[in-house]
Amino acid sequence: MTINIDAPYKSRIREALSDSGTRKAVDRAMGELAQRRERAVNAIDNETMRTESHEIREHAIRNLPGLLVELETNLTRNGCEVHWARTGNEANDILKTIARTRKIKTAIKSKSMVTEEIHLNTSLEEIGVKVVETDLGEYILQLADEPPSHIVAPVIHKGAEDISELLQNELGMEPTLDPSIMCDAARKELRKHFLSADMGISGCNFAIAETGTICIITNEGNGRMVSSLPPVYVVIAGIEKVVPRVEDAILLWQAATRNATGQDASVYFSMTSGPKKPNHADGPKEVHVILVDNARTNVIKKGYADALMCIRCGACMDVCPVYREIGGHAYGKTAYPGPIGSILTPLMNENINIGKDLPFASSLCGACKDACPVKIDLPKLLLELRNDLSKEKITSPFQRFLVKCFAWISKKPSRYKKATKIAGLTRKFSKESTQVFSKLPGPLNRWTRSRALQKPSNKTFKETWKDSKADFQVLKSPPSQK
Amino acid sequence: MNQSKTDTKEMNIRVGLFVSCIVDVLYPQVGLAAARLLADQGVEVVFPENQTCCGQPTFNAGHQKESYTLAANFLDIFAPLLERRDISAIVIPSGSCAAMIKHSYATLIEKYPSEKQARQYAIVSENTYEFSEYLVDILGVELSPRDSLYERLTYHPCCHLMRDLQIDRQPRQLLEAITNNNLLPLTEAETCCGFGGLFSLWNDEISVEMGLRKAKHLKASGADLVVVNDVGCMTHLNGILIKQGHTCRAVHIAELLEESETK
Amino acid sequence: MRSIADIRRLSRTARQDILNTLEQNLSDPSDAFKTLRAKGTRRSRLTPITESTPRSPKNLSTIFGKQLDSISGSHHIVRQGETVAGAILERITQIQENEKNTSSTHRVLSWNLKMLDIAGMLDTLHKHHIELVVPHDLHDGTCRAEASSISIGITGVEAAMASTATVALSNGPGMNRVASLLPLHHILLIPQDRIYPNVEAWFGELKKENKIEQILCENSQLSLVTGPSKSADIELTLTLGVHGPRTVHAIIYKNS
Repeated sequence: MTINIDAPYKSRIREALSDSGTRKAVDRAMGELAQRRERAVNAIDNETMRTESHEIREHAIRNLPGLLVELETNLTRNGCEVHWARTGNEANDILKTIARTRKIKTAIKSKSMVTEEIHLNTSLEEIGVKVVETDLGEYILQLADEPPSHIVAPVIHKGAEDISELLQNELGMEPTLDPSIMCDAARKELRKHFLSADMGISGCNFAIAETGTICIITNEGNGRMVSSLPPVYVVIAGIEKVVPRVEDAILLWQAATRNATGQDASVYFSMTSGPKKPNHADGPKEVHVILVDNARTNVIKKGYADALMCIRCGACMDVCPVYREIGGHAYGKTAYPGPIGSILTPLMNENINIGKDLPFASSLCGACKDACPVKIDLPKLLLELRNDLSKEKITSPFQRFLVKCFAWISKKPSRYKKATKIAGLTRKFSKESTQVFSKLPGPLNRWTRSRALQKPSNKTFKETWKDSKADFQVLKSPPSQK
Repeated sequence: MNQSKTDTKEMNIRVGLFVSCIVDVLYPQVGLAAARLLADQGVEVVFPENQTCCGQPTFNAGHQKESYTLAANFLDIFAPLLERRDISAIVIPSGSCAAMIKHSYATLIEKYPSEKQARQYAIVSENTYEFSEYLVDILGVELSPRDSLYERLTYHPCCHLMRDLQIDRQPRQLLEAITNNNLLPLTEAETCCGFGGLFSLWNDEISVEMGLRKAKHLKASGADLVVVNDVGCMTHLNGILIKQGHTCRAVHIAELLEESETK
Repeated sequence: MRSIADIRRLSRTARQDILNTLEQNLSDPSDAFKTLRAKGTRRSRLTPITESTPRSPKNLSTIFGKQLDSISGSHHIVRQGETVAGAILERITQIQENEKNTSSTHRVLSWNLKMLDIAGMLDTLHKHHIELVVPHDLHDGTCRAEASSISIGITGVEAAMASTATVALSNGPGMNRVASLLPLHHILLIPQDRIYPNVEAWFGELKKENKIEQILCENSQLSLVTGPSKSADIELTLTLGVHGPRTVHAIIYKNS
């Protein structure tokens, strides 16, 4: 059971908050992931790792054009065919053409967020290609016809009972809640596809420019399978994935893994540079790399290149107190939830309604900034987005009006004093003898429907200060100019 | 309170007090407590009466232009006092306001550049202190542990104070002293309480859930009082604690320290 | 319906578009980033994440073995008087017993013998009716079917890294990928002198000796493998053997 991700923002939030089963699963999972992450980053010199990771990623984004050309040159030299796509549609067109000309019947896929962005599965299915997700979590989601809710642990919103039911229905598995039996059932089923598929598709964690190498991180081994068994291997890579040197990829691999799953190293780090050579026993005969823009240049154009430094580790959403309450689907129809998602979604979607509420769905506590292994100042980016959305008049006119009123009042001390006096008068209109309001009209009821509200004091501080007969050494007003 | 390390009477320290709009309207006693505690240390407290809001609510709401106006007002009031050495510091009993002034004003100055304000900002940001930071780091206040003044006290570090200003040791030091080193631990103390300024209104559903989680941990801690440095968080937490029928209450550190003096 | 020529043409246009837009918008160092104003620095030497102290091969073997055990793998260090072939046989026998001696455990998917270079291995295995299968072309249906029916795989390594118990598996002539990927059980043969303190140490050496391109590009895929295949997708509970090997056993020996 999941919420309707196409519904408007507020109804998604309400739906998410009232789904206690999912909330429990998300809460438990985020607590666990955050803990594992803590252990892994505290076991090493995390600050140095973060500083160096940040430098690599900043350098990469600043030098994107040159690095992409270097990557393309080396991939081509290694025997890959490199394609460029400005949009998801262009990428899908390229992939469909390859699939059609190679007469692909089944494609096996390892987990990739960019393929979620461009709705790759749907597009391939349109031309009759069967697409099988091979990452266990994504496979389960495919059976359930649900989108992922977390970029590292995609099916974390589901409990074992739901997953078991799915596998029983789809695979005729015996009723069980034992994860190892469930995994075994999935392994057997997916093994059939691994061995028979004619195309393998993966995303890309890092693309090394100096050697022309595509790196993917998996723990299950499906990444190796997808990039080794089928005769055609296609990599979909966002243009921001490029890094200059091999050692950069090795550092970022460890930074990503420690932050994502709390492991010192992922079980598999597959580095593919080209198709098999004639005297190799296995490997793909063809390797295609599709470099995808899909609004990344837009993000840079708008001045938010910082957000492209992201290495998709998920740490920000693991520590986010908001994500913990609402879960990933509440962020709506986007591949990216949580703090980084609240920044990328409004920037990367032409339809601004998809993401306009997300930058405001944060208390700006800063836990994400502390956790981010590449030191992206997420709260600052959220604040800048809020500013942009207000300037472009995309936010609620009523809210903008209220904020402007407050600013207008606070601009002049005399106005401010009058306003605070009026606020103080509200005490008189309250019948209760308590210190708090329990119900207020209009927008203020958003407070009082679930919280008491402190009543304004009889006298403001300024009035008290003026009238104070306190005998402490103070000056009542600033000394005159000397 | 013990006499501070620095003999302030001789040095004639004068500070400017900025109380914040919420203190002005809802909790004047917090401002007074802060002023009294400073005065006890022999510090002269100046209260520039034309102060209003530091601009944080408008900034967080995405109205940086409006914030800029308020920031300019703030700088015009306090910078000259510092430049003329009428005061040596600005003290604020609010972590989030101090963070706004010290850090976020840089964003505003950059967007709306002016030489005068850049100069004003430089001197203001360097000399702005959150209240407990000023007491411990500048005045060198050291409280000797007393016997069982507060047995069931815990501390919730407000996000801007702890993360933006990196202030945690200072309030804890003061609180450990008045609890005779028996400050109660709080599960997930560092998790945000859910206030977040206007977030508490526009996204009240989420804000309240975060507050309920904090209230649950407060109940489990057994504390009667939870100390905070931000009256925004205090208002939100007390709002929830009262509505939920809990007995625990949030109190501002200045109020608590002042009260501890009279006990 | 597009043809390959069509998509190649479109790709060239897209390439130009993308590169132009990037160049335009990245030209001013303070423009594109909201939070980063000046151009950042970049150091040429990166700090290793895990322990990089050089140690003796014996020491590194112990560290590697301990680390592999801690991540659900297992290891055996070949002692004086033992043979590597003997250790291999012992492990295979163990697997056969655990799997109740099915036919899938009487054959072993393997690298080319020359790449393993273990004295007496073939003889020892043949004596115990264990067949070594070296696949020649995994795109051939019969070969693939045979390879996928074998539940034990044995490979050497390009290098091993002690701090994380990672091994580098190159694929190339005589070094197939499937032996370490398809079977349930993977046996790793690691000569002591191929163990480095950490991943950075090995790559650092490759760079110094100008061997990076050979390792990565000439051999088309390099896999860094750390322990048995794992998943935690179901309620974050750890399960092994989804989809790669469920057991990884390292036999560490002194290279004569």
